[in-house]
Amino acid sequence: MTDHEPPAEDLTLAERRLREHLKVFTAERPEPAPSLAVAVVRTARWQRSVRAPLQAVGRFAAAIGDGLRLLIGGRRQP
Amino acid sequence: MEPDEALIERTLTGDMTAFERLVERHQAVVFRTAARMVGPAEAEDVSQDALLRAFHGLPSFRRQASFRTWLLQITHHAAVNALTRSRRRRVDPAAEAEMEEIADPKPQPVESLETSERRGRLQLKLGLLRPEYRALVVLRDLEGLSYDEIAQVLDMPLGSVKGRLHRARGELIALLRANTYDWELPE
Repeated sequence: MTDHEPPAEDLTLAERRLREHLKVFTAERPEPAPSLAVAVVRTARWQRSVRAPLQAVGRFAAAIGDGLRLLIGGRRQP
Repeated sequence: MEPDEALIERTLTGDMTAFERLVERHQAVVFRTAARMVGPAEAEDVSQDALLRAFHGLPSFRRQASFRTWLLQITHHAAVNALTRSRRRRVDPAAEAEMEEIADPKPQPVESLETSERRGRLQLKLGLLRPEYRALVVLRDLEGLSYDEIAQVLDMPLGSVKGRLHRARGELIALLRANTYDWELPE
């Protein structure tokens, strides 16, 4: 099935009429700006480059939190 | 043409040129779907959001559906999120879309202007449908997806797709019929 042809199916008279109306959309399709792909790939690159360090910082902070909880919990026990 | 599967594998190993190929291949359908869901003003942001979510979610892509279907599912979620934000800002994206199209300053021949105006009015009516119904009409009647693909994109039972699509079309027909000019024009 192509993107340009609505699929064949049993339609009521009104639905067939609706298909006619919708042809104004299929006749002229909105196209993304040529810069979209460039912007997406550039953003993906830098997000990937900061993701690992941020995850490491997050894990480090979580480990400190766990350690502190253990320390405080240990002191409270009789 | 290198299949999506191969490009996905290469992207997962860190090859960004493979991801670029995937984006170039699928950006048009993502953008069209976003434009019909949220209006042209927000379509670029929604498309970018969807493509980036896909990039980060690629390791969890289970391959139960095609990459395109999975990407459209993400696009649909991004569009619904954008619509929710728009509603909070009390902005009607469909009305905005109509204004954009009608207020296009480029000089156009009369016929083109009429078509442009009709498209704007139809976009407005489409925008009055609830997001689920709008998505059904866009995916089936404008993008030509199968019922099975629509069920996966919208995460609804296959058996419900046909019935809900019929109701969605019915609502759109009623909206168009409310204005004789809108309903009779394409004759």
